[in-house]
Amino acid sequence: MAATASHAEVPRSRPGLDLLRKALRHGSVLFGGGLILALALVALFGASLAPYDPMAMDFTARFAPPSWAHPFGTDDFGRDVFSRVLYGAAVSFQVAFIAVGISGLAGVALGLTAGYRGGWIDEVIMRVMDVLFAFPAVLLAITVMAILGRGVENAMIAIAIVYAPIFARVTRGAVISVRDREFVTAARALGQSQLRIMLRHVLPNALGPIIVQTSLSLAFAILAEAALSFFGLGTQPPDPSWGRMLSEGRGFLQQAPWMGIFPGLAIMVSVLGFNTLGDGLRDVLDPRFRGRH
Amino acid sequence: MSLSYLLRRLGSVLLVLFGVSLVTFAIIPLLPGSPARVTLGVQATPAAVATLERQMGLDRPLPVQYVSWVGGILTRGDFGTSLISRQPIAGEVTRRVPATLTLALAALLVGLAIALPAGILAALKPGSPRDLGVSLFSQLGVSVPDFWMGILLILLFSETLGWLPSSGYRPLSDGLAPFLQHITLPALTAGIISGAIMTRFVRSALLEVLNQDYVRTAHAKGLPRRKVMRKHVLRNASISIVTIVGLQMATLLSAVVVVEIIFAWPGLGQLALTATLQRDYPALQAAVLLSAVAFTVINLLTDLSYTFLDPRVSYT
Amino acid sequence: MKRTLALVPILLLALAGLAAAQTRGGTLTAAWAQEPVGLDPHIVSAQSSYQVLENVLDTLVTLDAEQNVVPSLAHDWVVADDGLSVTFHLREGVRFSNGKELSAEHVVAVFERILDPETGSGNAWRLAGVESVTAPDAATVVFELAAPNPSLLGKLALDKALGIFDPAGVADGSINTRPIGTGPFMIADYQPGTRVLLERNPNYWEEGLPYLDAVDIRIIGDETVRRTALITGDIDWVFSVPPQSVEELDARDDVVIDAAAAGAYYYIGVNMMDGPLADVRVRQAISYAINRDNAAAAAEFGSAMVTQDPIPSTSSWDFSYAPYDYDPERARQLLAEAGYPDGFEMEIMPNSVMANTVRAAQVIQSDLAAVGIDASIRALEWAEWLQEQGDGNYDTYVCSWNGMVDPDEFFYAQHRTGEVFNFTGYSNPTVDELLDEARVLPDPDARRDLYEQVNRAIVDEAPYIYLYNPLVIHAYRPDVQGFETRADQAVRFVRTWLDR
Repeated sequence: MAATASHAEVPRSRPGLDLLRKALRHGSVLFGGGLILALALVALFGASLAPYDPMAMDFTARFAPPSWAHPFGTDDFGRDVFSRVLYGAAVSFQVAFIAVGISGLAGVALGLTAGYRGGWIDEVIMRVMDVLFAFPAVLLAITVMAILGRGVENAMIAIAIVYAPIFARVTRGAVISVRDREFVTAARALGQSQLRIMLRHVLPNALGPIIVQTSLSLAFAILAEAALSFFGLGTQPPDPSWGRMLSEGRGFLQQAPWMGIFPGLAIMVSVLGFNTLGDGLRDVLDPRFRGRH
Repeated sequence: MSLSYLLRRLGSVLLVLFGVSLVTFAIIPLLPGSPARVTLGVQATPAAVATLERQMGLDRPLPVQYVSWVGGILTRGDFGTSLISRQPIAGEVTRRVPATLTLALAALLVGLAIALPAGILAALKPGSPRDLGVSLFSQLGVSVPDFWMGILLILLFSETLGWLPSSGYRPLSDGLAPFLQHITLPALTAGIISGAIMTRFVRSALLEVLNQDYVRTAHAKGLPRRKVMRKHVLRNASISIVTIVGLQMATLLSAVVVVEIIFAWPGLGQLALTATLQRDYPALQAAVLLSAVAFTVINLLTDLSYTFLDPRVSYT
Repeated sequence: MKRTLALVPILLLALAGLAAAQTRGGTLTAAWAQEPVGLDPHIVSAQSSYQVLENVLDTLVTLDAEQNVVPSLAHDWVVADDGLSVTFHLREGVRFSNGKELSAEHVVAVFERILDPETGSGNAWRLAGVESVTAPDAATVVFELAAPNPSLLGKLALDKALGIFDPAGVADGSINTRPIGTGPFMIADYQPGTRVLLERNPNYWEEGLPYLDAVDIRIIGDETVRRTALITGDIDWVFSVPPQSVEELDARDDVVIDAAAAGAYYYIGVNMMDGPLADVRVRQAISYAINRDNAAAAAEFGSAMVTQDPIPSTSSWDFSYAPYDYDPERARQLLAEAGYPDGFEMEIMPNSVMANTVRAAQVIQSDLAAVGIDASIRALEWAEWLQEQGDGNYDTYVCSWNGMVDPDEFFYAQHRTGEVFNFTGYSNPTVDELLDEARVLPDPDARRDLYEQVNRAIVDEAPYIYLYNPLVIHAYRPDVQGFETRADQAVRFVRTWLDR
């Protein structure tokens, strides 16, 4: 794509503090960030706040509708859905953060190398990424799970492999747009090592799109965990993740709609949070949008 | 657009497809289980497993299998025979490709029907309640998992209202009415989500153009808003929008897997999934390869379309 | 065991329908939950395949609804006095759906194929002890046996793995996709993953049958969607409904729930090769620790009968041996005696295709935790599950055995030393002897005595921990008539008709 925007300002070697200040004044960033912060607190402390043991079965209280005793009702084993949703926050957030962490690290490293070095290295890395990208995402994840075996850890790896090419592309694009700027050529003229230049000068100036992509990927990872659960992969029972609860709840919409509705709402709220945060960060960080709204 | 650019792009498409085909073979020894065991089920005796695997040709070295597979495709268009249903895969695939393409296209149309008006409405008055409403819709649309959306639509439109069938596929050749009845719910499921994603992109693409100097000038000159919109904004935003549409179409081709499963839609995704679960390697390879072909070709077309839309872009 | 609707008018309507003459013609739209995994009767093992073949192939003898062996392609048979041969006399004038007349040569070719190791059949074990199958004339087939085998007739009758097809299909490969049989229907179209279209066999030998012109089998994998498709009338008949919906569907007047006790059981298979599980006291402790009522309630939502031994109480072979009533205290005691007062770690392996096994596993896990055993669940997809089970890479698994009638089928292949489906490693010479003796005994009372001993030994030593006998449940629209849900789980549309 052709870059049409021009930048009059002289780029700094480091992102300024004023960006952070700007971000904190931005409505979407505040709203999305607030949601995520709240959910993260639930993920950290939810298990200790839960009124019941999320695994404890009670066959005398199966399919109980929401009540004071069970605010979100109970499931087909008589387990407290509220406690499970609280507990599931940790599982879902863990999957999302670790998966995106892995794919971010791998994707950024590859994209940075490809974009900065160019030439055949770029060609090889990006073609491999293209191959991964050309696989239907769902199938790629399922195949990886089939090879590695199921379980939360492997679900993280599967999601990471699916999203790594996107990070590589985004990073490469951002790197290419800064690699020939004055401060990079200056560093090169000073004889700094390539690794140092890449990490100290190029990467910090390409961080904007990567941060945005991270936030959006976190939203997708939460959905991806749900999709894997739909195929019976991912978290192993009886551990609750939102995706697994939602997927199982779909079989009980007649008897006990609350089994699916509440984890579904939890997924919606967190995806909403990550996406809003991502959009807001894009407004603040992406040079093309800087200074608008 | 120069010929050499086109050739280079085609070359890299072929390279990627070659890579995809290699990967589909490389995973075979990594996958636990075998099609012989799946066929024999709980009655698998070791002797029967060995015999069936030999009959299936799985005892040959992988490179030999790969060469004979590629050879078959290139010389005869022969994708081999399913190890489970024992039917030729070429026939299977020709039946399924149209189903997937129709569904993806229909979903894209639904998505555009949502995203274009919603995105334009929002971009015209950024920050207005209207804009916020559109944002909220698009955020909520993105955050509903597709299998959940599908089930909810089925319960509403099939079970409660009784308007539409809950599953199955009728090709257009069966008549327009049954075709539309069957495609509506799956297309809505994938389309609403896709529309929600595209709305955000359409909005920001338009906003970017609206803030350009020439648009401000046009407004300042007193040109009617409609005219400015048509002449300047939409035309200039078309590149970004085409990119989004291309990306979405490519994404939809793989995103419809779940929708195909829910609605018993006989597409490539469903084939690929069943093939993976049953270890029906030739069927899996064909489905993945064709998905990859569709994906890379759409990406290529998207890139090439820029040249037509924007004379400033030239590839050398 | 057949459920009837509570609503009287509907009941009357149904009775009126039964009284009325059967209507001929029409297409029944049926939904299968899983697609057939191939259609070659000698190779396949999936229910989804067998139940298609059930309507396409005939066997020499078959089972009636009460599970008695009755004539089919053979109109009668004679067991030699020494028990070492069985002679079948074929029905005259039977034609394959392609018009070819059935002769004893065809039958011999079919049995020679399944006995040939090159075929790779997983069903050949049913013919263990059959030395030869010959055709002295066009209407006679003789089985020569190494030893008397009273369970042979039952094995020939059970499902369509030993069904007769036109052997010409082997040479041209059509056996894989379109086996030609003598049954009421023939396969007219097979689109893997989507549909199997069965059309009336114009040459069917039973006068006036089948009533239907066609059965259009659709594959609808999602249980919620399958349920909706039935309610909305998109389909007429479903192979299975979600167990949690049975009660709700039963209460509706536009759906008939047709249930019967199945010749089947769900169980925990225990890998007793080494570790704590090799100790019989530990296995017994597990058996005491499990609340079977809860496990069955979670897995089947009431559509099951808990059991502690394999054969369902509805069978004439029922022994109702039940030493393991829920007793966590006793379980803890046994664990302590075995040297595991603080429990141990183990794994439960259900398979994710059978959601009921995953649900049962969760109850088992929770019950075991209560007696100190730290069990984790490893739910595997089917292909991997089969591999792991076959390789013995498991501590315990949850699965079912289906479609059994004769007691031999409940015990022999699973528990005799060295048998191919003996995945647990169970080996008891006394049980082996009893099993060998019981399968050749002609006298039913004497057989019953032996199997009672086998049953007791296996339940006591617990290589399998039995959980419950399931119901086989089909659901259909009220205008579907003449269908019968059977204990052997066979789905037969030969007498089904549509009251429209």
